[in-house]
Amino acid sequence: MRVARLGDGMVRATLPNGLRVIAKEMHVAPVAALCVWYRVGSRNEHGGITGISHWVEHMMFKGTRKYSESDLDRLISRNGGVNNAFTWLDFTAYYETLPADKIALALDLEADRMVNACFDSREVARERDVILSERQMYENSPGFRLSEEIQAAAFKVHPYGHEVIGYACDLQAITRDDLYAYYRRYYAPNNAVLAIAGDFDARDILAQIERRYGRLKPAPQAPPVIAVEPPQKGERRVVVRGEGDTDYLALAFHAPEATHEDYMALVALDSVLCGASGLSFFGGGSSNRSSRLSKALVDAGYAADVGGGLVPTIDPFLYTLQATVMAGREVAEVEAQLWAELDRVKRDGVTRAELDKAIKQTRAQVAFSAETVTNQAFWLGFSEVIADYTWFTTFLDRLMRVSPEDVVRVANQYLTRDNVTVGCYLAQGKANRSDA
Amino acid sequence: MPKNVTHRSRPRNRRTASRACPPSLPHSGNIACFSLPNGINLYAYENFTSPSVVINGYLNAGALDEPAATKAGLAGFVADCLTRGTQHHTYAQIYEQIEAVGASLNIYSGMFTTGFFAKGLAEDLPLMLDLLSDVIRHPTFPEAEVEKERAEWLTDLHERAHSTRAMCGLAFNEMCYPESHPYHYSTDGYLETAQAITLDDVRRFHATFYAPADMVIVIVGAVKAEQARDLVEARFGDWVAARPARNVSLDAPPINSRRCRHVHIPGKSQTALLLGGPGPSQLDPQWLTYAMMNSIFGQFGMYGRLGERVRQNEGLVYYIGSRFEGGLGPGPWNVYAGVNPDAVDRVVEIVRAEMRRMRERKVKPAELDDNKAYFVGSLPLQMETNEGIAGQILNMVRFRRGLDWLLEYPDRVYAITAADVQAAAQRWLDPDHYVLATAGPSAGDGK
Repeated sequence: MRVARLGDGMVRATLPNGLRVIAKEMHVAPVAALCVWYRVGSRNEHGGITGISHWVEHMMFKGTRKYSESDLDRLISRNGGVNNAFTWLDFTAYYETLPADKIALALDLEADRMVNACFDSREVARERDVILSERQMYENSPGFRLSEEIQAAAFKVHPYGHEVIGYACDLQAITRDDLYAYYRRYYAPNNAVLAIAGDFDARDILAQIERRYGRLKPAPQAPPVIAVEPPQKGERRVVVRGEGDTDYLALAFHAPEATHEDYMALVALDSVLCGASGLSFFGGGSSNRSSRLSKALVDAGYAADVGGGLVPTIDPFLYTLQATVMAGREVAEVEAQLWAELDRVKRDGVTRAELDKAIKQTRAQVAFSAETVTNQAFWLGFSEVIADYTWFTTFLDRLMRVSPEDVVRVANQYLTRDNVTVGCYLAQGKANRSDA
Repeated sequence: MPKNVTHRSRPRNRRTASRACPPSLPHSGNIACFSLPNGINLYAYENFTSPSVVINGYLNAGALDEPAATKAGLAGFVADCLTRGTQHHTYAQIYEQIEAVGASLNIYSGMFTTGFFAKGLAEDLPLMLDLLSDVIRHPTFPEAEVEKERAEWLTDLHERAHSTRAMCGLAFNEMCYPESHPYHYSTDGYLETAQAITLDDVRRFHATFYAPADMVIVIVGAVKAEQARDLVEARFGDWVAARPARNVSLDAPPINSRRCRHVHIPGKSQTALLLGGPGPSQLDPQWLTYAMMNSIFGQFGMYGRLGERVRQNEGLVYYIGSRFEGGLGPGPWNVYAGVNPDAVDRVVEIVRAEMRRMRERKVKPAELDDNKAYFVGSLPLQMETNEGIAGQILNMVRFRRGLDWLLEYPDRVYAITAADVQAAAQRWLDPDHYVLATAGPSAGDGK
């Protein structure tokens, strides 16, 4: 095992079977968090099997020969822990947070289900219904329906064009054998990152990891994602009509991948426009009422709220601005105000004071995120999946190097009318509003 | 996010293995308590492991103080308007200052109290307390700003009218509590009340009910307790105001029949479901036993017994669980779920069968032991952050548990017997008399 000591209580190692390990000692509270990441998500899917990554994640809770379905959650809970999993564009991740003296349990069950998950046919059938129910829950939200249409319009080639949950027709058609083959292809030590943070001795935890994971065999290298989304050459526009009496608007611009040299300038731009995003995997962050878009849209009475979303991804994804249209206002008015503010950034630039504010906000968010072992395990593992751990540990330093000129340049480059997909949710009941 | 859990296996670890409490638990020996002459109580807990600080607390003004049902939502609207301008700061200045340092400041109102929460770097605690004190004590409610806040409120209410979960909740509470009971009404108000509440209503409510007596402030983080006291005293010590006493009956009559209502919301894919009735307040001495019963029934692991039967065995739902919503008053107990409209009857049938099983059979020792181990073992996770610690201290104060509650907690948990759990189920779970609210598409609309 190759081990590198990185300072600040961190070590990074690679097992001979290819498993990447990143561990951080944190002796603040007697707890520890394990997060195992697989380099597979909706990015690895194609038409006919959309949603399969997420479905495999569900099946990972259906048990192995060693740990039955009953055991998996029960043992974590009775030992005072919490656990869950999530599937995203670029990855699928499983985590357990436990009292530190119980973390061996998590190491053991994650090693076991990395290679020994059962995929019983009856369980597959039941889980199909559960996932269809999950999709129905999302469909209840106008925001989900709008987002699904925007992604589909924004991406013609790349698999980022479909939602992680997948299309209902594919969820009806995927078989047990499809799921198991997918699991065998992507779930292996050489396609995984193990991130662990908490109240332990790093040398001891590495020994435990080597003992449990070192014997697992690597799989043939997973097929690479070769799709490259061609540059967009003109505005795209989608309209979703639905129930309710509130309209929603979103502008989605193609944006660079997380490791691109322009990425941090876009982070700074997003902070100026919409306020700093939280560095918690569970959301958070401060309010954004002093941000430019909040002043221009919410204060001015065009929108009830406004926000931005810049998602760090392996391949180029989207930077999205979304707004809830205020009663008595039209989508077109809100869109005009949004473009006016974007044009103002391009024309007049941003101030040093605005960037200093973004840096202070981010410094606070870094401090908050460091309070929990779960957040640290998340961010270190996430960074290893999309780049390497330094993506997270140098985040604030890189943000501090962004200049006002950088921000104007990326605004002019990415926030253009030829690079946007405009999405409008038009509420059918709006005309009946008594206060409209 | 996904998964299931059941409780069939025998526990591996015995009680003694998980009884030890970490030494860092907040208790009467390490929480500094200060009482100001005007009735404000400050609880400060020093934690220098992170450079952050949290302020959490409440004062005694809430929806119970609203003058009539026609003013429903007034307490919440007043709380929302506090940051719209003060004698010393404009709305823009308040948010510019708090956001410039990466801090947050939230104020919100519930049935009994108006709560506040702020989080930031410890170096910014004076600023956070400056702004908190200013917005609570000196709001001016500028008319133009209040109207902006009202417009946002109206938009929220329009969105709520098409939210299956929110509309299900409104229907449930309306059936659960009579019109004479405060819980019959939404603390968020209604379109009609949001438009009818006047600026005078807002100003009068603040002038009448915002007062320092029995206000609670909890400060946790990288700050010395004495410094926290000095900062609070300097900003709140000279506040003199009194509010009229509250005289409200919250006794809820039992449910003696089945009351069902469906709120039809076309265009949705899934129906929200709530089934239950009035529950206890957290001041009830048996609260911990009730919470244990509820964990077994609809929370432990992935949704307890309900999750095992309805999701794992039947594949009927993505989420289902049960909860006690009571705080200082007797909020409801209910089962919640998102269900395909064609499966509502089947889910209700299973839920009722599980309620019967919970009442008629004592919980097996292994299942009870699992839940006890979870209650005690998860304490360290709940106190990993300053936010978590502040929340625990606030609950000890709010629900009059005493500051040594967490030290006594393991013994209290392990003293609960299977007979206690069964009695709790018989007290609160009635499979024949209940309120059932659903909202969303109707049966036959299912996709």
